[in-house]
Amino acid sequence: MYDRVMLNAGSFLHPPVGGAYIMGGMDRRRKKTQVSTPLLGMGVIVASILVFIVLMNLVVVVVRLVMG
Amino acid sequence: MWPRFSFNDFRTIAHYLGVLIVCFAVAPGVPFVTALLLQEWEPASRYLLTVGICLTIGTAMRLLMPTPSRLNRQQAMAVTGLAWIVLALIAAIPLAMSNHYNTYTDALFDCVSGLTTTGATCVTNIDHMSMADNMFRFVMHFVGGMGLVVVALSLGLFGRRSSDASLYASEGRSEHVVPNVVQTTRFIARMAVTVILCALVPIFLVLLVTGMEPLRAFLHGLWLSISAFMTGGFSPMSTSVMYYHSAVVETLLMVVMLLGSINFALYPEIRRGRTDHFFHDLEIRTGAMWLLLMTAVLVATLASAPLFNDLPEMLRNCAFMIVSAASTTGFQTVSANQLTTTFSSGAFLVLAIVMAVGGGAGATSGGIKFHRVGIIWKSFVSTVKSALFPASARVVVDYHHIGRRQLRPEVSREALTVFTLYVITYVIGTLAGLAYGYDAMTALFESVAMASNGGISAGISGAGMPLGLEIIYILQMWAGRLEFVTLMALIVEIVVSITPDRETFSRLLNRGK
Repeated sequence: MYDRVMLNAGSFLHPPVGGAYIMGGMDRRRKKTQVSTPLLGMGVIVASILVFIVLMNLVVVVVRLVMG
Repeated sequence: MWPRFSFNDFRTIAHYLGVLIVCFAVAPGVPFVTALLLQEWEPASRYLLTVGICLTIGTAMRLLMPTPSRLNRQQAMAVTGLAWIVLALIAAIPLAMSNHYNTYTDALFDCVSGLTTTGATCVTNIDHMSMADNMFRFVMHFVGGMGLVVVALSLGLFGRRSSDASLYASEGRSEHVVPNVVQTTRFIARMAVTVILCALVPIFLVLLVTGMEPLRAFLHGLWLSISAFMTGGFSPMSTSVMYYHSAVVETLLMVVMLLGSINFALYPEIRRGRTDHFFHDLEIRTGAMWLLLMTAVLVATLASAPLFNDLPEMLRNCAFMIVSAASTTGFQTVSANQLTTTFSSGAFLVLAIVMAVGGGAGATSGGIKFHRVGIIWKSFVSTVKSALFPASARVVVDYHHIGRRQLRPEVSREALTVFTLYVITYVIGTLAGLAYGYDAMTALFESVAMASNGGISAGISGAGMPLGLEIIYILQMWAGRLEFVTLMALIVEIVVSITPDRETFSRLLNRGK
């Protein structure tokens, strides 16, 4: 609970104000999200690029249909 | 008063250039080994000679100042600026000795194009070029794409005395992926090698399945992977990617080209699990919106073109050409002749604009960069906000780039300055093309392709192009790769250094009396 309060405080407090507590909270949150591996990271990027290429092709189809 | 180089400055610069030249001996060493393995004896002798030339010239230059001092910022800029042209002059020797270039300048054009990852070429009969010569062209792409100074720093060639940060920044890179410059350069090198090897495997397999001999499939896969990730654009065949007639190869190359044009500083963020930093990034968002918009415009302009009558053909070509132009790679799925005759002038212009803007900053792409376009857009937003709010209000505009950042005036100024310099260079190249009697659109397209290091040719650059125009294009490629500031600072300082100052001038006058 204490961490959560300090984490929320961190969103509007200027960093130097009580920086140590806030950074502590931020670090804990960061640890939770650090589940990625290099392979997974690259996988995310490659997957998003593939989705983007599909999107580009969709744009081509839509514009082509609109233009007749 | 402008700063001047002293005699000792020149000796220090020569020493570090010598270090780079000695290091560059590895580059012709790769085709030398390739030639030996494939029993291409004539190319092997040429590359052995070039290794010798590198070692001799480099060592002689190092001896001009055996114990150099630490590089200051001006010296670092001079080393970086000169390295790109000095190494190209040496690299052109083995290519000029092959029978594939009409003149030494043609070979030099190819080397500058290779090192700056432009991809335009003046080679003749490329389809029958030796494997070793082809290997050398792609080694230049690799070294140039990574950055000559980045390669040298990652190998620790400048030792502890050098000013790493100044050298790194003077090569058009401003962001450190990790806090230490040497670690940053090593990270970039590791990542490049990993991506190239990962891309090589599927491309090799596809080429093998389509009937290519294993060795040829392997080399073509390797070269295409290097060319795509380094956003270079050289291809082992005269018809570029069209030669392979494979939608799978084209899709794989699109992925690799886009990987090469994403800011390298974003990769560690994803690795640390901060995917939000990647997807919220100003550059990624600007780039995605820009590419989708330009794809739509290109399709609209091509709707009536006979070359793209059927939808599958259009799907295959439009997205590929946009990605190739935006990443400033320069692979082509339509020939230069088709570009000028079948493409509508609108489509031609769209491709030129996409190339002019380029890809991501801190990546291997050239051009103005998405980051600067995003910053200029944010500056525009800031100006409009300032006009709407009361005079007493303090307008704050922020953007996301590895965390939230506030738009500062100096960031906007830098973006606008580089944007303006790119536009001026595009215009100068266009005027030169017009002066040589080329059509306005073709001259504009070619000029943008050179200065943005895009390399898609509309047919001007090639064997037999006018010498004057060739030199202008070489200068454009050089300036575009270094993003102008380093080059302009270098030119100004050299001119000031060789011009006598007032005191020396008056002393000379008095002596005359």
